[in-house]
Amino acid sequence: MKKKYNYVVIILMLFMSFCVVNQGIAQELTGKEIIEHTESIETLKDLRGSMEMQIINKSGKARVRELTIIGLENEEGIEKSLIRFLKPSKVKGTGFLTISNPDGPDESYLYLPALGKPRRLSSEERGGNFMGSDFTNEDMSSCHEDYEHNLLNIEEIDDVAYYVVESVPKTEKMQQDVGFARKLTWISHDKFQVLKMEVLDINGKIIRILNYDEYQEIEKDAWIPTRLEMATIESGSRTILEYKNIEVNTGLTDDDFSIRQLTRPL
Amino acid sequence: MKKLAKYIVSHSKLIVGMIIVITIMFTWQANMIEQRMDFEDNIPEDDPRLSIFMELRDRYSQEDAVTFILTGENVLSRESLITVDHLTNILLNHPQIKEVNSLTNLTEFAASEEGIRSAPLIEEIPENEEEAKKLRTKILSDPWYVNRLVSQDGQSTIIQFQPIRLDVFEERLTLFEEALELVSKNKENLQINFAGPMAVDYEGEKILGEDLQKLLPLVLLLTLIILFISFRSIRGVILPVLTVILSVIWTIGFMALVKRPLSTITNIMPILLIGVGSAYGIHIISRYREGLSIGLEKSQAVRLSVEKTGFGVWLAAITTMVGFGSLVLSDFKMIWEFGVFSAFGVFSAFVISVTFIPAILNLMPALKVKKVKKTVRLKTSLSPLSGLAIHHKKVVLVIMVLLVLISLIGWPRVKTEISMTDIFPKNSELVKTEEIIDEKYGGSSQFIILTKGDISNYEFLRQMESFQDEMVKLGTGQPMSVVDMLKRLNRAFHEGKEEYEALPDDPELIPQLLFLLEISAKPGELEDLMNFEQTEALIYAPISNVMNFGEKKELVQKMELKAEEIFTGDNQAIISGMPIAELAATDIIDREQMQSIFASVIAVFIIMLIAFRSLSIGICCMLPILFTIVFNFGLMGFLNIPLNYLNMIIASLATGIGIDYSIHFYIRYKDELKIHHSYSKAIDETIRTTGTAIITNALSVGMGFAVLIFSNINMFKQFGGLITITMFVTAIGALTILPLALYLFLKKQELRTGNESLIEINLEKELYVKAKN
Repeated sequence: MKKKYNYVVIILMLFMSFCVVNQGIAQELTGKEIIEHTESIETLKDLRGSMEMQIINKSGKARVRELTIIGLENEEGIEKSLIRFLKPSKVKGTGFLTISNPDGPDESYLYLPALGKPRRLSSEERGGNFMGSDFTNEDMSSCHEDYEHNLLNIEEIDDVAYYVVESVPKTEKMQQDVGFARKLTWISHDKFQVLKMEVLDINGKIIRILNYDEYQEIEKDAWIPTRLEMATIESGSRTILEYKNIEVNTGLTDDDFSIRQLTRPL
Repeated sequence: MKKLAKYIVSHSKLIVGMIIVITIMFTWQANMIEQRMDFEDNIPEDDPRLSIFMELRDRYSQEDAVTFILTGENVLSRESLITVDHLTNILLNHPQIKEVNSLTNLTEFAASEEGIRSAPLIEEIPENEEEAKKLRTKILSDPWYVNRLVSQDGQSTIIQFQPIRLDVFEERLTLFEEALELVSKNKENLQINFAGPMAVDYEGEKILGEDLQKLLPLVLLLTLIILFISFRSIRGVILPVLTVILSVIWTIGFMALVKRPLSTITNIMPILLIGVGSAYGIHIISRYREGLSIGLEKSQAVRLSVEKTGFGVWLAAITTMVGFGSLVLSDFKMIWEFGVFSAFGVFSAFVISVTFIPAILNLMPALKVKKVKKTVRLKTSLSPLSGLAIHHKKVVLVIMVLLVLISLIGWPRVKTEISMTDIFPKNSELVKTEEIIDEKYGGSSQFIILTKGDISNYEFLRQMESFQDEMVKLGTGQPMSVVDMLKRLNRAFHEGKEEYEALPDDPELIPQLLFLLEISAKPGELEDLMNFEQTEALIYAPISNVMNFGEKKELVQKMELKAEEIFTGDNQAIISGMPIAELAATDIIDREQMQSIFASVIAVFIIMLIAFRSLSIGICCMLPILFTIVFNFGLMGFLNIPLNYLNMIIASLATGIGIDYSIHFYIRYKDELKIHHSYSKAIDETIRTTGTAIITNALSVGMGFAVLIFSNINMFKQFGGLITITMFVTAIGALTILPLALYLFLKKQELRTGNESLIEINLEKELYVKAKN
């Protein structure tokens, strides 16, 4: 079955990726092991917060969006998320509800306040862009098993040692789907924090650069970046994502991810 | 001149050596010359319509798109779709291609059983013909695709690609060539045609190159023949031709040195120089032969030729340079360049003629000249003209006045037009393709309408919508804008029902649909449709590239009126795109035409005043030229030849070349007057001697240009024909109108003695007396 990706699952992944487990690591790690170390935190059940998204075009003009976000992974392993836009004001209340199902197709709903009732959406393309930003769905997903990971070398930047890991799509078909040939990730030696990621095309030219910044410790030894900046080289545009008021394990339930919640006035 | 003459005789070898060294240097440079035919490169940007066009082009880079049309029995069959898909992917893989739009990669919002989705129109190629048939019915019944991507009959489809920004012209041509090769190799059973600005550049470049290769040798050959007939000596042929070849090398070398390419217009410069440049040499050689024929020794004859013709040739060169050079006032880069470089070419030809030719003549053994034969031959050939000028002044006057009156009737009929068919023959592949696109897709050129207002505002979108409807009624192809995207989206949100393919009635829904559109796109992807701030939206509407110019102009005027009527308040619409750029360019041609006539006529007139220090002589010499200019426009009016950026230079060329005839004629006339002290005798003698040189020159210039009639390029044909006629009219004018004017304007005293001017001929009497003894 074709793998489905949708906006909200990806947002969740953004939150849950790049958290760090930095204890008891053997010295000789492979590329794959390093990448695996940056995967999600076992104890994370749910989270809530808000996000500001700034899309800046090549002439430096910015478009600002503000949204709230909640996410949950319930006991059956189903991931749920709900996004509501607060800004721009003309679209206030617009929302996406996504329920991912490990065994079947995702369920996804869009709510436009002017339409009154939500509409079901079908799935997104894998190489598509996230909410009209510079982030592509694929850049942010962490399907590590789709890639071959190689540790290229260890580089020192500002007195911190970083692993440089190259990730190459396993098949040519995959490569066509994701729209790039390989990506390079810089991961810190001590905390397994990602510093940056470069996405390259088939000619070795950099297409996009993603910088991770302002790591926040959400649980003991678990860090997430709260500021991400993605630049698209050719178009000259970039997008800054900033997370605010992040709380984890606040006791969200399935009821918080219902159509009623999606259409509730803000 | 005297010093120069002496120096040339004493340092002949040094002069020849120097000219050869300079030529070698320029040859080395000339090898690096580039060729270019680029309409947009030529556009002056200070015109507001053109600056908007260029700005839109830079911002949205829409004008560079290349369109391939694939034709077959059924382009929606499984087999054809596989080919289209394959071609799309091949093009997409080219590193210089940014975007490809085709049936098989088109993404759209649609309602489906699963919900609303933004997905490819054809997600998977149909597995069998049965499925392909269903798809065919679906696509052909949807106005969104028909006439945009697929023709109504399902027999043709379009693949359009957008290159990355390539500023170097050659890179664009190479990309086009590569794309064409890729497509041709993989087209399977489908037939391929291409169109779009890049294709036009590519074909133009090809046709221009072929044309020149064909025509230049012919021009040279013709000039050789004419020269041989007049001089009956190898030297008389070789030297003027050599002068021209050297001056062409110098000019092209100079162009390469200052890094300017050959353009459509500068391409004809070699032909121009063959005519103009050879004249200086011809005059020098003529005088040299004359000197020999009256019994002078070789070095004396060389000195005489430089001293006597030197001033005439010098004045002729200056006035020609000024006449051509006046084109620098043009806002068109191509014409500006033509002005500068042709002036340089004339200057080179002049320098070579007054130094290199005499030096060579001095180094070679004297020509054997028979004394009487030449004069007899000339007398018989030109005596009717001479008789006309001397004995039938009234006839000349009446004919001239009549011709002027008739021409003045024709002149206002001249229309200014720029069109693709100026360059491409009507039966060429490109023009035929344009016609296919016109018929099936509304045209390969496009209007771009820049609308200003709040895009999330319902009223503004309604105004855009009704303007689009009006455009179709006026005759453009199906327009496309954000309005159409919103309609499509609205339909998707209403279970795909056809009646919802409209702007939503609820004004609040619009910003939300717009937002959805925004978050479904890549950053910058929607900037072809609207700006980042969403205060400007673009409407694209296809329009024929080969449409009759008058109709196009009328259409634009109607569109402008509609735009004013429909867009109210702060909302507004500015019509732009290639058709507007062409219209703006024709307005500039109109304006500059008069400007360039005045500039060249006045500049040349001032030089004449300085040289001859007489208002009446200045006026006399200008009369044949003014007559020629009026005649030329009259002719264009009656023959329905439009004014374009090539033949707008005819007036300046006629002035620059024509004034030479007046100058040579007048100077000779003055010399003869000093000997004969009689108007009639002096005129008769002048027509027999200088008159022949003038006719010979007009023949060689005219024939050079006449060769252009065999060009494949329409614009060149008309230009060649016109300038050939113009040259003859000026030459005949110099031999008839000028004598008449001299008779009418100069006081009887001057007619007998000539006026005292700058031209002091010191050697003359001495030499003549010596020769006669």
